[in-house]
Amino acid sequence: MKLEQDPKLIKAIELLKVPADRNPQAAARGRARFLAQAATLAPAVSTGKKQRLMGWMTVSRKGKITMNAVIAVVVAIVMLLGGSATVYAAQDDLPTEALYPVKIFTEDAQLWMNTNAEVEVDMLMALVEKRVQEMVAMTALGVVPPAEAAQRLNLHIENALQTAAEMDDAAMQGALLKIQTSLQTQQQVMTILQTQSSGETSQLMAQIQTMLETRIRMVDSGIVDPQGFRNTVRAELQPQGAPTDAGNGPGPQGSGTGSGKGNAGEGGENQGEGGGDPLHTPTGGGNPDPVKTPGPKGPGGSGGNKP
Amino acid sequence: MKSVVPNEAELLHLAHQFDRQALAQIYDLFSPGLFRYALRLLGDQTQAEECVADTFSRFLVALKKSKGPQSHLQAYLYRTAHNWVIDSYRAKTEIPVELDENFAVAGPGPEEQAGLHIRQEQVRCALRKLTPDQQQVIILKYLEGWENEQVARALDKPIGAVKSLQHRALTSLQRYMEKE
Repeated sequence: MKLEQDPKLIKAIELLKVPADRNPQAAARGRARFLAQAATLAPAVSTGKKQRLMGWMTVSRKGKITMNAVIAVVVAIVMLLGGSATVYAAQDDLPTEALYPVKIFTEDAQLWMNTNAEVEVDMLMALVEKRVQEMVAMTALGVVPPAEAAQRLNLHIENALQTAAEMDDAAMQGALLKIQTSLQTQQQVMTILQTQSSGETSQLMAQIQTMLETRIRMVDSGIVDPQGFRNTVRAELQPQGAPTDAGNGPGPQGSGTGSGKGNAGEGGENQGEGGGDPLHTPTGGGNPDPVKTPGPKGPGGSGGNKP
Repeated sequence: MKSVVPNEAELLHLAHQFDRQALAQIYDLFSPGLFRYALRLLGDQTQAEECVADTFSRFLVALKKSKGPQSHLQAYLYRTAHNWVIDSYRAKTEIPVELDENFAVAGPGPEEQAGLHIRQEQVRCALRKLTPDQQQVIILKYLEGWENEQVARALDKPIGAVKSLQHRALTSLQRYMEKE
């Protein structure tokens, strides 16, 4: 008998013909990664430069362009007046130190001057890492990190998620993968930090851990279901009644005023209205976002979102 | 040979331009089959996913370098996946195996499952002793149900060579399985 027709041999081979049940989540993740990589490798079609060149004549993504010129001038004046040394000196300051508001101001200004959504996500995740490192440093010094530090950390993450939600599916999935990696790393740092701390610090770390877990879950589901993610961001992170098209224009009540409690003296940290939980994010009222939602006067406008 | 993709030329043309929809369509068309193929060879879900991911990643890199396939996409992808599998055999890296949550829910009892698993592993071991081309012929022909012509495309060999490979593969496989 020909081997090709040997039933025993064929049956043995066909033992491997078992149904290959693929984990749908793993499959979706694989698809998302593939499309994200495709978006990264795709020939760049950038409109950013064009928008920059058009300056005042164009309202850019989020209407930032015109404000960029204002901020650039302000920053330049501050530098010329001898502020550069101060700005430089402030970069290593911790939230409890005097020049910290200057550090926050420069970060916000840098974010304002950027018009590229993907770069913005990268910048925000770098700031998330910076905030966590500040907490590590403070804990090492035996200082309890202030609640504002945790709030700012939360705001950076929320801003990154909102920025991602405005992208198209492929770009969003790419951005979410970056956010996911970053948040998982910070979560590991927080776990270590929590085990090494006690009392108030430990309590704050636990709250941050919970917040990170929630955001990681949100990101995980966003990678699989981009539209669901947009809906979640709209429902959970964007202020009620805010315009959803541009997403960042001043709302009917001049959003960007946050809860009205932003403290200019502390670099625009928004206190929110959450009372005991520093990470409570109000879903109604003004957007606590110091960066993304300019008030009627833009950065530094009402609400103290900018120093 | 008629392509397995109805509009393959157009799809590939768009893929070369990094058209998102075309790339998504390609992934949706071929990733289930590639996963099944890799799983049958590797016997591990995590590694099979890794193989699929890397296959498509290599495909994108090839497109970027304008070196991607101009036709016979399916054959190209299976060839790439197979190379990955062979490389993984050579590297012999132990990738941590994730626990299958559905393991306990499966139909047959634990003893039957274990027996089946052992027999499958014996066949897989015998299969791994074949040359890479022989393995590919057996899998594509007997497990994926491909025609000789399709297998020839995937292996980039004439049909006659494929038939001869198949015969040698079966002879060797029978010998190895008798030894097991």
